[in-house]
Amino acid sequence: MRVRAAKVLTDNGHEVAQAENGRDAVAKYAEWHPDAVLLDITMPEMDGLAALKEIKKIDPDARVAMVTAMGQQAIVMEALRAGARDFVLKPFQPDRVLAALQKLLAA
Amino acid sequence: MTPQLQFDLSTDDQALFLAEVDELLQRVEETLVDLERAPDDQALLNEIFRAAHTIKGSSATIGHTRMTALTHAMETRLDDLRKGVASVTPDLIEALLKALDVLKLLRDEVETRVPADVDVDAAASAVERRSANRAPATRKKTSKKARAAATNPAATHRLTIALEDGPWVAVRALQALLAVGEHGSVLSSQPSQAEIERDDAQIGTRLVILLKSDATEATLVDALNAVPELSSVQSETLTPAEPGSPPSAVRGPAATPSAPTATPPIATATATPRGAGSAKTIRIDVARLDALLNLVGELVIDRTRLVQLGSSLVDQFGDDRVLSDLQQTALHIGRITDELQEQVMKSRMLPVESVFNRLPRVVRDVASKQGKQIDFIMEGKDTELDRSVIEEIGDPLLHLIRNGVDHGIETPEQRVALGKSPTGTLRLTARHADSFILISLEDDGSGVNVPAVKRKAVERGVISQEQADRLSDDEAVDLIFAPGLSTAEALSDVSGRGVGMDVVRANVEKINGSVEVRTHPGTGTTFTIRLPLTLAIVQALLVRVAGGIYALPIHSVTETLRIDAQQIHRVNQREAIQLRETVLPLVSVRQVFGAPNDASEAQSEDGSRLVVAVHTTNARQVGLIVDGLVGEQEIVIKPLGNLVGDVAGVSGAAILGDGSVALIVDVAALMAQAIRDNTTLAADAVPVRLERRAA
Repeated sequence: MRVRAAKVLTDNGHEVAQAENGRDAVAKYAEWHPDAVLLDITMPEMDGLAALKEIKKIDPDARVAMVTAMGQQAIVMEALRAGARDFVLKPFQPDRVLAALQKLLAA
Repeated sequence: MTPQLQFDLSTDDQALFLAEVDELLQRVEETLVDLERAPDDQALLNEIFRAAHTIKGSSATIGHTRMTALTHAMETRLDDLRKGVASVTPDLIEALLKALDVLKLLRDEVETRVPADVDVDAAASAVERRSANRAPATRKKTSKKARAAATNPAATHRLTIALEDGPWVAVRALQALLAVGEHGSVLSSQPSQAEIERDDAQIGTRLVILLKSDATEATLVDALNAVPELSSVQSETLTPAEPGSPPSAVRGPAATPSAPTATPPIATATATPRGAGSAKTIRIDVARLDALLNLVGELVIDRTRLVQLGSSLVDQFGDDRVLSDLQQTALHIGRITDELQEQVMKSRMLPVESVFNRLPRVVRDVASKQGKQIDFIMEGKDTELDRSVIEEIGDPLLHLIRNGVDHGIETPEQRVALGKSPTGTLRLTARHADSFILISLEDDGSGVNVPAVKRKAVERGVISQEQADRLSDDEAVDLIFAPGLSTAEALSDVSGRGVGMDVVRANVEKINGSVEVRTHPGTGTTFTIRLPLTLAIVQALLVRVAGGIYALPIHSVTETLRIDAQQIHRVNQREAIQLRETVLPLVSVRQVFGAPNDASEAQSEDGSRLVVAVHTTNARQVGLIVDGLVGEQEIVIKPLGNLVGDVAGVSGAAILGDGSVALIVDVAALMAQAIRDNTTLAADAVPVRLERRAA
């Protein structure tokens, strides 16, 4: 999923850095300060919610969208309250991901 | 002419809205007073916060923006208290109470549609001004909102959003809420954020948000457009963005550039959950209950008649099967009527709470004005009384309370000098005793200055010096209920104008109650109000006098006795008897009502007489000489009507089982009249302890 998403984004002209897990994502954010972040809720080591909170600590204005599966509504809500802007549903649909990213960057 | 205000609610909804707001305002007031004494009580804070929040939501729903703005300010401040970033100070409580008073006036606007002349902004900023004490941590956190408030003029926007249905509809709704929340403060939303965030949220596809913001409509719509899966967004500005705008412009789509078609009344959306939540209770117009009680009253009379008719038929025609069936049925109807009566009475009962709860604020206000410290304790708030009694008892209680704070309890300095705790105690208790409710108010203050009362009473010509000399302290203290008597050193605007205690007594007696006072110099005063459970139906002792039937309310009857002629003594030119350890003055009912004094009727052959001992409100007891006893019966009190008017000594009439009319004796008035006829009676009548019957 992550690899496919990265390919779609790269194909559409974005520069993409990938992280293997939540901890890695936070570290990469600190290093890169990207324009936008797609963050899976279910990740090893540090889950998406915890990573989101860490990222927000580094940059309160970080633009983050969560990647989520059905049935995770409650966690998504918590993520929204914690500062996530949007979310993208699995299974992966390239159009949706691109649309979400565009909105994220436009905001 | 002042333009009328408009609100988004139907007549039915208006009654609901007002009832709800009244309850909530009352609750806020009570809790605020409590909070002042227990500033760390988180439960109290939460309760005030919730009530303020609910008022905010309700007022926003009907488009009462002034009310919404003020409750919003209160809520924000209360939230700071909850989070512990601000603390409860007397100033803050004062500001909140002031805001509450303003809210009451704003509430009246809904009823009258006339803009109230109040400065909502001033009240709101008085509540907010103390925000300066905030801890820095939250200042940062709320900076965005604070900025929005600082760059007021902010307008209230109503955003109506249609959501695409699906498993994520609640999440999208939250997203929309949070998105607009970045540009201002959400005053309320339908559904609320809490409802949206519930796990099993069934929120539908419509979201209405009331937002206070200085952002333009375009900005808000853009923010919402960034949220996916919203099928439409409509925005409307409710208040023109200028401070102190005339209330007449509070609502009116025409005044704004946005589409006026965008607002179906939100009230319809709230109707469903509200109705579902209150399924177990309904509100009924009091007039209907009154009508019902009246009908039941008639039924009670007819029931009694029916049973009597049955008995006389049996007497006349003997043991007939049809007749005994008739009697059975009559008895059964009687039982059902009794039960019906009880249920109707019960449905009219209210806990005294509704009156009591107004009082802590009064105590607080009067005490703080006079620099007194008072611990106000209320007990038995759930004691129930007929609502007609409750309605009448509010003013007398209010006056007694004011009086207790004003005259009863001393200043902290005086108290300390007397070796008392600087904080005085005022204890209000309600409890059942037989078919009565006793409400007592006890203070631990200075007590009534009895010699001063006597002096004043003589000065004002209420009693003669001679009478004053004969009065015991217990009797003399009763003089404070005499018209035009106030012993306060200086008249204050709080209680002492000398029109008060007499009004208290008059009001209480009007509803067949009584009030008495006991005082202990230096240690306090206790007022006890004794009230009937209901006004409409009383248990009465029927007596025969000069061929007519009179009803004596049973609660004023102490006992009945037959006395021999030689037991009657003359004391001060009045007949009296020795009743156990006391002297019981006798009054001839015949004489008082001006019936022909036919001694042969009143006196049996052996010269003995029938005496009914009755006591009045002020615990005096006299014996009424009557011709005979008819029996004890429940009677329904009917006014005498305009043709007859007020008759001294008679409080009303009742229709008896056989269709005849009995006059209901007003024992207090009767005694007063007898006393006027012979002033010495006042001193002769012996005090009795009312509690004797209750024991």
